[in-house]
Amino acid sequence: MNILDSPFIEDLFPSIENIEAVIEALLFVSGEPVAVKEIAKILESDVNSITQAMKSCADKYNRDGRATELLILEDSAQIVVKPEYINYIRSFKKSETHQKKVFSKAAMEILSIVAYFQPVTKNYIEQVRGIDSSYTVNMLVERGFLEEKGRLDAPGKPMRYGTTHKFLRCFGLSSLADLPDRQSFAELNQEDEIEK
Amino acid sequence: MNAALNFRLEAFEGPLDLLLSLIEKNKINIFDIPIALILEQYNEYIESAKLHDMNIAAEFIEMSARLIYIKCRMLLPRPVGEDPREELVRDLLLYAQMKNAAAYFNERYEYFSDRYEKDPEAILTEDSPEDESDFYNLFPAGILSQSLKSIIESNRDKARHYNIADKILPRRPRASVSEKYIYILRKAYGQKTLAFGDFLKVENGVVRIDDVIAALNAVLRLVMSGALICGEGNILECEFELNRKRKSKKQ
Repeated sequence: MNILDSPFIEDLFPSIENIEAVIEALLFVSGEPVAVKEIAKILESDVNSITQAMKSCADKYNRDGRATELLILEDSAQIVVKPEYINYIRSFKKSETHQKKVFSKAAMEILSIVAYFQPVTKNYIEQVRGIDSSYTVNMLVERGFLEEKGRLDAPGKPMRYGTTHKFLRCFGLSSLADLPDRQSFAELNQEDEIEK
Repeated sequence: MNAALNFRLEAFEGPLDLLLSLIEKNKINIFDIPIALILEQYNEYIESAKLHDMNIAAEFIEMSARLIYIKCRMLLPRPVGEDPREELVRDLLLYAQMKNAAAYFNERYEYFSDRYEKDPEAILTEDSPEDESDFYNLFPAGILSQSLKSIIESNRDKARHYNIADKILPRRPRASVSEKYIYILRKAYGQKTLAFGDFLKVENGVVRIDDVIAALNAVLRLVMSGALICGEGNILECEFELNRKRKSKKQ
């Protein structure tokens, strides 16, 4: 039931504007991404209404020209500061936090493979790359870009990996559906008339 | 030919990377790879890398064998329509695709990774853990180590041992949690009450961060399993003692 249909709306449920404010409050406090389901539970509303309110809130953030933005990350949302302001934040915090760590070619390749084929085992990643990738996969898990997504039902029960909300945030994606079509990556750097 | 191949093997992510490079340099049609030529160049490359006394990853040698195998099959009679190179070409194309995707992602990362995320608050969830060993949902252990990390980062220049922690923290902790259990239980058995500091190993007046994290993990598990009782206050204030009234559980 949409809360707007409730006869007690003014008494029991916050208005649409208030929902957005509550979302903003919760996301601000959390810092980390908060699941839509959780907000829906707190507001005693349904996921669809919250998702709508969230999108509207995100639009408002963008229109107002603020430094913060509301990111929708798959099934969760997060408030972050736009990248343009990072240097001010660094001076303000006077510390090395959020110093950008550069990715190796291997790490980027692995992220691409996982992003497109998840969930995948380390074995599959190594098959695609042609070389052992264990160390880098572990590093990516530690740094929060990959996470374990259960085991494959095969001999040895190997662990499968997928991308995280942090991955979406740091690569400017709202969800995995935003990934460019894999075929769009020109397969070869040749200008010949090769037919696929 | 040799001069053109004089780049370093380390520049390649793996044998597929090397093959793609050779294909590109020779302007070969990937759908009709001259196996003999590629094999020859590939092996020349591996040999020159060996001459420079570099450690060749086993995968490079394996690819060499694979190329030889394909070449052999090309020389032997085979059913019409069967191309021994097909699987290799598929592997090369997929890898090339992923390489390009990686370059694309790298560019995006350059910009979007500067998005600033506020450090998480210690928020407990009501959800019970899925299985008994999943106690991290009950205790904000991850939050604790995160807080420790941010304290250390903000005090970076203050103490020598924080610099050590800075190097250790990004890697996996070297202190063993299971060894910590034993250490803590032994100490608790001997003494009436203990503080968290008693569980740490101090070397030259310095405490290692991986030791602290192992101690934290061990203490939390022991308290949760009932082996250790803790008193009031936060982890740095409260007193711990061994639960001597506990009946031993058969596993």
